[in-house]
Amino acid sequence: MTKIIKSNISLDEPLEKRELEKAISEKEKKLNTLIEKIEQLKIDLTIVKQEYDVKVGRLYLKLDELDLEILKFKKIEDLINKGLSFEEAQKIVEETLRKRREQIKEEYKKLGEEEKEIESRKSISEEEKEELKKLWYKLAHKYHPDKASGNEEMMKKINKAYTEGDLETLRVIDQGEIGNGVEVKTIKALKNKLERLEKSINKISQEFEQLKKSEWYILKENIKKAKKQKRDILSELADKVLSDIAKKENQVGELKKKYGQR
Amino acid sequence: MDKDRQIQKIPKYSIDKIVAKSALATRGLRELGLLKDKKHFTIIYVCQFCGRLINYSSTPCIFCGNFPKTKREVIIAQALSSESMEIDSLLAISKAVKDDEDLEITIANLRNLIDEILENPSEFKNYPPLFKLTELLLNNPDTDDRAEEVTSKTKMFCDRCGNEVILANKPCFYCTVGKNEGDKKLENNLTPLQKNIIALNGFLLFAENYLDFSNDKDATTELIFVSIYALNRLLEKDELPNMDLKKYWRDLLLRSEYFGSEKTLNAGIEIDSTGKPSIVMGSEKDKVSSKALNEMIRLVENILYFLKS
Repeated sequence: MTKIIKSNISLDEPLEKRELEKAISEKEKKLNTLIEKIEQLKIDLTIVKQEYDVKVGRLYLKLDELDLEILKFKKIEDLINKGLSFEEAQKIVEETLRKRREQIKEEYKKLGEEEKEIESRKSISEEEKEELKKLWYKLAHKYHPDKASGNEEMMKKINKAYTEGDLETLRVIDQGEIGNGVEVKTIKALKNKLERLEKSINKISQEFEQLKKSEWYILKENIKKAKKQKRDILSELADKVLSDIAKKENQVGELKKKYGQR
Repeated sequence: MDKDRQIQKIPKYSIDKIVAKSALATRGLRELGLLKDKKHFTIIYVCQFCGRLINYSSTPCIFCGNFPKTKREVIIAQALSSESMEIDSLLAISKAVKDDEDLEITIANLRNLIDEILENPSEFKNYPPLFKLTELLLNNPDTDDRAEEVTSKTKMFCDRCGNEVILANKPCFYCTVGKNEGDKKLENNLTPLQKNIIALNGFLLFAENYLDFSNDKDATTELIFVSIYALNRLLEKDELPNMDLKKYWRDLLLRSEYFGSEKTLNAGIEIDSTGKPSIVMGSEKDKVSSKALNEMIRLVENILYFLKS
């Protein structure tokens, strides 16, 4: 009896292995497709965010600066009403607002960096764009954190290079890549691999759904929809904020006049 | 744009993650009318005096007992609401108030809005009834007593050590953690009403002070709104949450799946498919602080009680 059972196992084992390998191959394909989809979406959303920040975000920051300027005069007025001189009041208020002014400066700096990325993307040729995309796909498949050979830090570097149009960095990473090594193919190892793949597929699918709920996705879809109607909603929004800026600039102008342009 | 909803920015708040909210983006989306569909269970506010998230803007805060007493304070109370800004901004304001920051600087256009409403009240129809309500509350001799009655319910202290009771269904945290086995046999003699208050308050305190990520941000946001509503009912009406409300809360918790504090505590909780929460701490051992562990224990224990009760 024992012998027969043993014999069955040895007959079934290759079959089970083949079936597991087939399932793994299918899951790997599915995972690769999902990785391409999600990483592409992340990059698309980064680009939408950068364009929004440069076209509109910059204007909102300007609005913040003006609001802060108006607030400065109002707070100075409060202190003058309490008996302080303009100079004394200004000194106190400037100190109170210093931290926030520094934050706005930092935000401008970040916007400047995004602007540079947009410029460097524009400056590469069509052939280079094609090579960039091919290299990115290849490296994203290898280094995606949900793959066995994954590396989160490397993936961030790859995506950053792609959004910046930095072909050289992708080439260097590609040349330096190390082989996969030898894989042990016992039934237990295959089952574990299959389980890991299923988990990764679930995780990425969920992440993908979350991204589709993000404000940048909403914006991306609406930009696309508006484009079909030959509208540029970012420019429309920028015009609206610009008109708010003009009003606030007037208000600041009046306040400056009131305090003798001090 | 509706003047009553002018405040929509918290300049100090920004997150690098692409899935996270960005104050600048949210302002643009609101301006474009793309956020209109986001309706929540109730409207919530940040108390301008203590920074806690609350359900009503004009009546005494259920945590500190304060309420807007001047027109200026009424306008601020209205501005700090989920009708005017997203949950990220509300949580940032909650922290700003707790840190004693000047709200006029945190929200740079707040002062302008206050002055505008005070100068032309007839243009802002929502405010005169609210000013009237404030007047009525100020003239009502029972207001302070009622406020004290409600706020006292949120403050429960251990008879033995005098510390605040922070675990809904376990003996006093401070008397048991790190103490010998005998001490761990202490009893928790709280009523179901008190236990529910502690459980929900514990969850909300975690959200206000630490929450910065979630697998499903919409679900976790809604969970905060429902918790505020339920806690308010417990304190104001002594009303235990009914089965439907609990089921809704549980479903939202399940949908949230994994949430926590990446920046401050480096820890989160994962909810499995049966609703059981478990603590996930940061990967590097040296980064796990006892504060983080204590906060996560508090969160999990309180969630567990609220789910089972």
